[in-house]
Amino acid sequence: MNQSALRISNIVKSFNGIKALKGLTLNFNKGEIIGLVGSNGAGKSTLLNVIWGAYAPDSGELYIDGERIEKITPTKAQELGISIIFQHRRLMPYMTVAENIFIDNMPKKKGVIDYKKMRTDAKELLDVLNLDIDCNIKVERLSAEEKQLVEIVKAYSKQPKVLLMDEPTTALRQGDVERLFELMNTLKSQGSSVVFISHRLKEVMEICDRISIIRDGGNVSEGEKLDYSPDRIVEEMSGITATDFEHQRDVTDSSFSKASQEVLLSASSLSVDNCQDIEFALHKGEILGFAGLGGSGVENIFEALYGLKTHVDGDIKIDGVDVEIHSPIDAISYGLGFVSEDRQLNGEFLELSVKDNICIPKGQKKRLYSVINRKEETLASKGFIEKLNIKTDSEEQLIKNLSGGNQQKAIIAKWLHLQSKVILMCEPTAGIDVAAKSDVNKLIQQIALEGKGILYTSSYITELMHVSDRIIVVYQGRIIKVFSRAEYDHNKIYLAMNGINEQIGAKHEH
Amino acid sequence: MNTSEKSLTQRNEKIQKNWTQKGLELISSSYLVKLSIACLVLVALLSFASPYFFTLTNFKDILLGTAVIGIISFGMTMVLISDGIDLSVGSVVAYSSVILCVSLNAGLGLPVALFLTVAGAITVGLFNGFFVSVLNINPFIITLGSMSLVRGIAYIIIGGQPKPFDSDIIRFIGSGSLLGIPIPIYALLLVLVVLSYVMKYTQFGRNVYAIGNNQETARLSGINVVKTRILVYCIMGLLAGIAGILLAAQTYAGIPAAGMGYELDALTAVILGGTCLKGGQGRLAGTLLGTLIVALVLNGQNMLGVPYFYQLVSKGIIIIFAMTVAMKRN
Repeated sequence: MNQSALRISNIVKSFNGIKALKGLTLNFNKGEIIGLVGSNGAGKSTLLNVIWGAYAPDSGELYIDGERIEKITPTKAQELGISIIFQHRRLMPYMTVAENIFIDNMPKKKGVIDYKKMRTDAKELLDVLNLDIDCNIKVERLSAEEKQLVEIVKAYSKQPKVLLMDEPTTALRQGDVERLFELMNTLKSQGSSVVFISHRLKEVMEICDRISIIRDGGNVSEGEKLDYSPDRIVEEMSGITATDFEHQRDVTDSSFSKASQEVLLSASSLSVDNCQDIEFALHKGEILGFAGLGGSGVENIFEALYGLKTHVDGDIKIDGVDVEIHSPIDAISYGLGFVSEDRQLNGEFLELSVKDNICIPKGQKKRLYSVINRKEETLASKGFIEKLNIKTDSEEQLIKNLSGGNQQKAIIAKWLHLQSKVILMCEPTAGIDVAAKSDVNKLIQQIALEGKGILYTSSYITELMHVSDRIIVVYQGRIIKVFSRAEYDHNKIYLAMNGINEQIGAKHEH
Repeated sequence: MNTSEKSLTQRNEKIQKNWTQKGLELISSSYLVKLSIACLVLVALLSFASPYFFTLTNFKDILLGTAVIGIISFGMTMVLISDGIDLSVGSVVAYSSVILCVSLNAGLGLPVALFLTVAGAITVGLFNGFFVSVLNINPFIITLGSMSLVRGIAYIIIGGQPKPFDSDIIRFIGSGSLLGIPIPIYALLLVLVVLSYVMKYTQFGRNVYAIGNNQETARLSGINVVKTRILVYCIMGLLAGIAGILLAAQTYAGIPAAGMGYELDALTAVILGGTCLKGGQGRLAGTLLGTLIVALVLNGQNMLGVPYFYQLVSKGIIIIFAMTVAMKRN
């Protein structure tokens, strides 16, 4: 049984001179479920893209069934029996479920597509997995969970020799996770190699036979699951051991802002989507960090506060007054600002100038027919460019010509210009380089010092610890623990994000 | 001494090179400059080809002929910038001419008739805007529907056939002149100036650009996207109504079949003028040039006696050319 299905050795891959993979070596055996674990930025998605043939590695070898493959392409990978479920879904929204499942392998009769066979085959597959999805409806009409399940069925239908799954359970409900596990076991018993990439330690511990841990593009350790505990996994992922405790706290950090007792925004028994009983208070001058794995619901809470969700229950108070927020316009009128996770998608006007990007939200306070005060706007944007050190040759420059970090500063500037009291920041440092990240984070701390309240998320725990004054950990839609700065511990936070919490664990013993 | 002289000439050469380079860059960077040059080249060519072309009367004719379609094209520019489209404009032209005619013939006074006409045209815009922005339905589909719907209503109101009407003031609007310039040209220029000002200097105008650029960002930035988009279609309706009044004033009749294909003529001019189909970008000055180029080509062909069928071919070529250039520029 211990035959290698897929082996990579000494893979090196760099982007612009920065090594994302530094000689990674991994071996996936037939008939085995392997948990591949690493924190964000460890190189998991780069690895998948190398195996899939989307990126050519700088050096290193790849073996399938013990045979060396010189140059792999997506088509070849598929022919060789490799199937990958990527984190971002790749289904065709306007085709039916059946068509999506067989998109690259349509059953044919006399040279034309045999739709009847395709539908019966698709139905059979869905039945095997006990899924209640109509194979004749278009994918766009499915929920996020169902789409993920279709993606899984599609990968399964190819009877892959190696199946790699990147965070497949993020969008799934508990029952569906169990079904996925059944399916993984079926594949395993058929001799396939199944690679489960996940942040969810409980699931990794439950389903995997072996565990491989990677960090910063290199190997850390590899072995039987029985040799691992959640604590060991977290320590090895982060590279921080319990004895390093002092090292990870920077209470003495001069940038540590002193939040006042004045509450700017508070939520109580807030519920939205999968979130329930959310309760917190944000003080003036405080950066309140939110931690949670994908699907935990943190983003739902932020969107609910900004009026982007339709069904929100519970009480939100701003400056002690009950408010109802149904739209961004409401949110802005109560003094909220929003920095989105995906700048280009909904954070900025790429084809407009830095000045317009900074001044548009404030302009909405005026009537539609009123004339823009250009002098005032030029002056204001020049001020922000100087104050926030936004690198641009002029305020009239199109924002798309700025670097990512400077674009993000301009986006933050628009809320400062509007004098928002509270700014919700979802992954404000996503997609910008390391130097710019620290720049943006310094700016955020500066803003807090000036008396704003900030709600902050980051998928990087170290960053979250560095920036926030408190960290609220959300697990499956509930606040599981709140860490004060004195209690900060990278590994404990990560375990809490996984629902593994000392106190809660102790309660459950009885 | 020698060396410094040398460096001086070198510097001079450099400056000269910079000037020519800058000139070339300006030509290659600014689409508007290119369009203006194309316009001038066209005028020069046609002046050589036909002795009747380069005359004041002919230029007046060209401008007069572009008044109706120009006003619609300016509105269409704004609609495209907002990442929308309005295919109902040609029908609204006919429908407003019909309302004007019928109300005048019914004995209503001119102010009332004009009010009804304008109100009717804005109502169509409101209808389009409601579906597009409140119900979030694709503007192409909605305005394709209202194109047919409004045309039908125009026929129903007037009873199938064009009907004449008479009003001194309307007659003056259609064919009178002030300081030697026909009234419709004033209307064209007035719309150009006002709309350019609105688009460039008001909150509304900037919101339209912002929405066309990224509707989701616009919503999260607190822009009232629904209201702004409704307003865009209402203004488009109003402008199509004004164009309809001008057309009725030039023909002294309410014509239910008028304005057929105007939506495509306007789109040709707007796209030739450099407005982006994806929204967020575009300028009325470009549309003015686009309209003029189309008018010059058609007028030149008339001057040279090119048969109508060939004119259709050349119009098609302009559309394809404009589209290809527009796509390549992105």
